[in-house]
Amino acid sequence: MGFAEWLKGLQRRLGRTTPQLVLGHRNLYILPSSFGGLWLLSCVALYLMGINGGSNSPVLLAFLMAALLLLSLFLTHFNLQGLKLQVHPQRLSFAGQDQVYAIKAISKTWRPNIKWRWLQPGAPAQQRQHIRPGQQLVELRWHPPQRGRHLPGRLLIHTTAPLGLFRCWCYWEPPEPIWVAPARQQGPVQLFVSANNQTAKLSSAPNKQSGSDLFEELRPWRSEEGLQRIDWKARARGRGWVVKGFSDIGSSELWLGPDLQLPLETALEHLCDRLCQEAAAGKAVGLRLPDSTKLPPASGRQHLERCLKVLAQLPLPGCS
Amino acid sequence: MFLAQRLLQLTLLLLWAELLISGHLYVLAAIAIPAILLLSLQPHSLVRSHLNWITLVCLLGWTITAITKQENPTTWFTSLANLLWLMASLKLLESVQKRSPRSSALVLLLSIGLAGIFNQNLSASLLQGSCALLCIAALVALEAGPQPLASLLRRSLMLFAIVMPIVLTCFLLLPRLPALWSLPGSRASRTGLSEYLRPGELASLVQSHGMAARVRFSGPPPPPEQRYWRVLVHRQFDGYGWSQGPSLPLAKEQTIPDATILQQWLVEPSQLAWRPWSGHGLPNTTGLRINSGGGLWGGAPLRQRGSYGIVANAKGDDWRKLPPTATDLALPEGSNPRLEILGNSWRQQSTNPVRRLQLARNWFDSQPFNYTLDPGRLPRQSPLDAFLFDRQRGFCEHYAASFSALMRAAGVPARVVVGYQGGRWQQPLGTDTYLLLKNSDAHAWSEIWLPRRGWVEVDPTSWVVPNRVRHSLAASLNDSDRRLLEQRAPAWLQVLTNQWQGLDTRWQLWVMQFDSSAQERFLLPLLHGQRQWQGLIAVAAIGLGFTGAITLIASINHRQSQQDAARLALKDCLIPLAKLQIRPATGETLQQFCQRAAVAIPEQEQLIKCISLHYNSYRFDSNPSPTAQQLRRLRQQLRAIKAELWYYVRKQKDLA
Amino acid sequence: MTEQLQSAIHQLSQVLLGKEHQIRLAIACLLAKGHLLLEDLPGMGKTTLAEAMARCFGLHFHRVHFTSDLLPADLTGVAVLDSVSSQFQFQPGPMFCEVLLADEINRASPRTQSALLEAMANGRVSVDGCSHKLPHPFIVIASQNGLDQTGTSPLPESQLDRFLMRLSLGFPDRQAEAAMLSEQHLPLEALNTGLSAADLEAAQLSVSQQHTSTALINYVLDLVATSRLNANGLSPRAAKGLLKAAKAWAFLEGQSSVTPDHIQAIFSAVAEHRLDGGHRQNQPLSKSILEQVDGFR
Repeated sequence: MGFAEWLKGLQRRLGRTTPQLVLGHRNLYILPSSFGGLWLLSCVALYLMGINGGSNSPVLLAFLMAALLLLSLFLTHFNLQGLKLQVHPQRLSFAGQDQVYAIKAISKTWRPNIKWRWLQPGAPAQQRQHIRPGQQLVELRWHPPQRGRHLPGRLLIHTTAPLGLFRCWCYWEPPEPIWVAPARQQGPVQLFVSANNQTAKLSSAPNKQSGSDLFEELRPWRSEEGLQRIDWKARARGRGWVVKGFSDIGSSELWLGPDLQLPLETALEHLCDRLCQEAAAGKAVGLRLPDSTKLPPASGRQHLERCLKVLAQLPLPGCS
Repeated sequence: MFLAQRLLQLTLLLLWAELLISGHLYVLAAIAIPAILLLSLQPHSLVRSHLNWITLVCLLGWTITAITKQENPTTWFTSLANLLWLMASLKLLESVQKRSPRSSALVLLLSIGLAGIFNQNLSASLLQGSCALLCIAALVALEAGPQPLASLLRRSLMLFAIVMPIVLTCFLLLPRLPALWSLPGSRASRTGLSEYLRPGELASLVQSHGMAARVRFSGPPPPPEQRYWRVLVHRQFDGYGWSQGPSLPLAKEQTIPDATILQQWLVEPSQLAWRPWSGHGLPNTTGLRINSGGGLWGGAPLRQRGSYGIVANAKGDDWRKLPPTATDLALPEGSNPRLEILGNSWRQQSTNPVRRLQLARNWFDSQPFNYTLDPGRLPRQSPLDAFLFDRQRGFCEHYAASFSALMRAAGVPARVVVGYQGGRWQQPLGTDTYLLLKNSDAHAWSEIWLPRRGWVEVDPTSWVVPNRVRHSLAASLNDSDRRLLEQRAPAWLQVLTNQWQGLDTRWQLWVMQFDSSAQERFLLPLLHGQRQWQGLIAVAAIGLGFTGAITLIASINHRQSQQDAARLALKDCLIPLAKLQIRPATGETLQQFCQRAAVAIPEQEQLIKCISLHYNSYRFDSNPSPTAQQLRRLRQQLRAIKAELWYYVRKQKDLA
Repeated sequence: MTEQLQSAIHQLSQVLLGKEHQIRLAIACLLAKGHLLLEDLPGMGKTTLAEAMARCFGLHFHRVHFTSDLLPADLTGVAVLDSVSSQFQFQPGPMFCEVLLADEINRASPRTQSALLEAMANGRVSVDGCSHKLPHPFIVIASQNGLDQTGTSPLPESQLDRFLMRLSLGFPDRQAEAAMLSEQHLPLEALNTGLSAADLEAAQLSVSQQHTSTALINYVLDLVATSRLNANGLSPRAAKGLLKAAKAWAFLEGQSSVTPDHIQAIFSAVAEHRLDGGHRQNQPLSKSILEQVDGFR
């Protein structure tokens, strides 16, 4: 086994994949930083300067610096020790957008200058954050590679506070997946409107029901209908007593699917955008995919997420 | 980042000011450092692109200055120090441009340490300490994120306070390495006694107010008439001035382990290898030896303040009994003919040296001598004749020099001793009393050999002006001369100065002069001579210090995560209930907790309900926010409740 | 004032037996100038409570039964052509009252619901480009049946946020039900508390002037921050509502200062419907939040 594989195996063992990580002696590593090394050299230089120059003030300063060095070993360790990290449900994101990966951090004390970095190539630059006592969400920038369900990878958490003499770090691989839907792009999609599960193109007449959503017709007024529904404007123009009739398309169902004339990825991007639009308008839509996956029409955020997850998970072209 | 830079700039400014005042900065560095500091205040692209040029110019300037200053070989160290200080400022400029002040802080710390070699007095040490504190604060600021300066300084001070016991333990207990090589430190003082006594030289020295030495006595100080502190013994007379002459043998180093220290000396740097002392006792510091002339020889000029003790010697002083040699009688013939004639006349009147001394005294008393700081220059030719018989105006060295020459002419072995006489008795509040010797206390007197009595001090100045010895120099001068001595400081400032010098003395003796021999003196009695335990005790004490520091920090962290004073008072108040296993659950409010507790302890229901009543009314009633007085009242109330609860808990425990 | 309110609550609990806590919450909701959502199965006394609330303060109330074909105009009113003067005249709908009892609000179409909620937020309605001010106070007490009822449009989360409190009455206990069956309860018509709309307004003013300390505000902030760690966090409006409701609760208790106890008392009523987004959970989410946040302040 080559050294590289051994190193990889070691790294795999170092990265912890539990949903909750309590930082402590078992998973924290600490070594002097390069600045700490220079600091130690300076201590020695000051001490020599003091004893050879016959002055005690450099000696005192050397002792002070050495004591601070040793003390900051503990202080730096304290800065991470006891910090509790938990996975947190991730927001769904769209490909090509910058995404944040949220981690719940629970701390009893104030922890300054904790730095976070994803260890993948091309990951965003390191972030630093001061952790307050209590619970909080740490939002880490994260570049989604492409649509799909992804694990965020290995996270390096490190700190050099309070003096920068030691560097204390640990690794964590949060097991909470993050969903990346296709990028949103406006464009044509395939629409199906069905009544009683009878699928048809939009041109077919929707199933009508009296309601208040769609203006449907004008019909003569009957006295039991009350004054509210009379079309007073028409009355003023002398068209007589007429009533505006409305209808709901409640039971008619709107289904969306990718436009098959376009490349699949582009079609999915259009579909993604359309789904978001419909959801924002509060309409119930269903999803119908070429591989005969169907999601019945519904509205609400949870439904939208379900739809987008399905889109995210479709096999990528080129993969079987 | 910004705050850290400002702190480092402030550090550099303080360091610069300290070095400027102490006079260790070259003119180049004294100008360049503030200029670079000014440049670093505004990050500017022009500066960034020309950083190399600025550095080059500074280096060039330094090289030229260093080369021109090299006539004295000891200045190389000062040159190097100047280079480091200059580099520290350049590093700061670079770090401001590149936004990485960390290494700059380290270089500044080194510079501060270097400044500590040059300047060791209390004010300089305090300034250096605050510089170091600012450096540490800058490092903390880099890591701690944005926060107000006050809290930053508080945190840094806390760090300082926490490591201070460890530092002191290291300082007191860690064995000191001996110096590997010697760094020439600060320049020796420019004023002070010199190896060759020219008539008129001391008179100019006494007009400088520089400090010369400080002495602490284990008992009461000697009376003013006995305060003669010898430094140099001049045995060779060349007709004009006095010098030490051929070197005398040194006595063997003697250590007297259990002797009490009579005097503890703290001496300012000087160009002489000789140290002041009273002439009685033995030095207890290694490297100090007494020569047969009664001088205390330190081996080399004193570059930094030095300290040593003088212990009692029961056997008496050996050097006094050493018989005179031919040098002690030598008088260049014809150099001062009138003086020789006078001396010869005394030799013929009596064979008894004591009688001859009496004749000399009578002669001095009969002449109208005038004691003055401004005697005028004596001629090269027969200077002592001119003084004794024509001008008759002189300062102590005139009297001592001419008296010794007269005694030699009269056949009595005589020499001139130069040192200090008198001194000011300082009694600062709260610290030890000590005798302060200044350059203005410089004095010269004579020593003659009397058979059976050995070398005896004779001060002809005291015949002319008795006040000089009994009181002070100022008291023995006339008005115009006194003006030359006057210090231009009001009385209150004088008091403050005395006080400060007292503290400084302590600082010097206890901290700055704490070397391996002082460590030994401090530790040996504690260890009962068991030296081998020193390392173990040091390690144990340092370990203990660290444990304490870490525990303290952990508890501070814990308390900081806890809330404010009222909350802590509440927490304290609930401790007795916790003893009865009644603890608040998370999410429970105080009122709910108190109700639960009241159910558990029905006897104390009223008391427990009072907790939530008082606390909640403090917390939620006050508009807009509680005052300090209300907090005090709440604390009192809670403390009273806690006391009663404790009483109850103890009673319950006793019953159980 | 507090005594009068106490006696009113006493009377109300004679009407609706065994539901004193819910009545107090409902009164607190009124005092905090908030709208109330009653959610329960049919026949639990939602309407009775709503009507009793209105009668308690002698408020002018209208009751509208929401159906799927209810149009926004049916609530707001329309401009009617006066045949004599040939001019449009605004004829106010049932919304123009002090207390609107919206029965089964989830049966109406989303369009109608949002018209109602807009009026709740703004205190005014606009019909045909004319803005009409609603009376003051204007309080909506909406009731809705439990979920999984066919043919309903549940209120979206954004609309739920506009109701200060959601209450459910639950089954009465055996004793209360026995008293009810033996007709021992006070009939609604016999309710006479002696309180008026002016009294309500005065009480609302006192409530809004209750002092809240920084410690309390910190507690609310912590609760809100903790809720935001989960999917549906509490909005700033919810935080404001929490404080208002707690003030009203403290006022009802006759206490001058608002403490975390008052926040805890109203927390589930104010926060739960915002946390679960209208989908009731088996484990109340609000309770777990209260348990996570330090109640000692």
